[in-house]
Amino acid sequence: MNRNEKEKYFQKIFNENKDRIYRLCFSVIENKNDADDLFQEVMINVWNNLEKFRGESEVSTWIYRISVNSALLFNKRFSRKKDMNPVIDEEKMKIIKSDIKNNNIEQKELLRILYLCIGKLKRQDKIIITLLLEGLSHKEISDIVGITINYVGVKFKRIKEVLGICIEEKDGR
Amino acid sequence: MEDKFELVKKMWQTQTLEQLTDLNPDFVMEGVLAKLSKFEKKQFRINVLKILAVVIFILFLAIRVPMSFFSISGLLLVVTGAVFFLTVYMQHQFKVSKLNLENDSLTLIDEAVEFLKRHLLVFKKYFWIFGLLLFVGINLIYFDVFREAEFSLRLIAHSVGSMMIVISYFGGMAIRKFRHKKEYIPVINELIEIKNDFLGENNE
Repeated sequence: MNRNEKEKYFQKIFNENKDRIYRLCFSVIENKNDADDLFQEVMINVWNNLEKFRGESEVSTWIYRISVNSALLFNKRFSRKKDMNPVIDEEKMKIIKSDIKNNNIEQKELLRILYLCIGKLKRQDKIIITLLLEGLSHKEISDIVGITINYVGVKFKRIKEVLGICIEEKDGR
Repeated sequence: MEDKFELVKKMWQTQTLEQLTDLNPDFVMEGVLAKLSKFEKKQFRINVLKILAVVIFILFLAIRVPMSFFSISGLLLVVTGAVFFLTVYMQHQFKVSKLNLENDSLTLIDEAVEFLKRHLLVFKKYFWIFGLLLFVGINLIYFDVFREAEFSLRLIAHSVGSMMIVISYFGGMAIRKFRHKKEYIPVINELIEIKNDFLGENNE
């Protein structure tokens, strides 16, 4: 694959996957600017690994794997922004509140609450719930993360319980 | 919750990059490619600079020291130490690009933790070799250069030279230790924590 072909292929992959990958970055990282940085880092990693892609799995699964791994290792060059007590920054909150279109007010509010509640999860749980929200099967998630299919189910159940309580609490206010 | 989850899932998947960020996709695409070529050029320049620095250092010493057995031996020891340590250090330097991101996350975490631990060990395992070669090399050169000088002057030259190396060695080690504690160990711990969490089923 020469540089020109690689650029064309990359452009195609980028156009087809940019939304789902940005959603993952936006969901996993609290700070909007860091989410932008992670997104660019994912794309750089996709570019660097493009020649290794053998087509054994779906492009989207391959990209999710690179994105999830990039997200797990993402820490702003080790400058340690410890997210023990994650707080969604104002800019991200503004977007969640206003810019998500095509939904009615009630749905928008539900999405806003969901982001807030996901923001309270551990990074690895954020990744799993985001992949489920993206519509990936337990088998696909198991392949990406490396845990058993059964444990994906166990994790999903637990995360859903935590999210359920959080959403009820926020929704009830 | 089940119905709500399905509803949320549908809404979730309608969100586009343009709705979530002011990043322009065209700019992102151009930015990624520009960043890549900038990064490749930067890496190339850094490597050239490192090699140049070593070459200049060797040339500087080669010009300054007399062409005698002791001086040449001393110079060779210093150069060997520097080249050896630089090579080992660069080989073990942690970079995300050195990891196989196509692995599943658990395998990747293991790989990253191993890599980070190896990075930590480089200084512990090899820095003393560089320090020792530098110490012996410089003292051999001083021995030759100050051969004709008075004993007291020779003693001062050797003491000052040796002290400088010892201070730099322990200073360098202390800075490394501090950086490891501050930057690398928390990352290793966090990765291990994530791994343990992913492997939770085995602990139940």
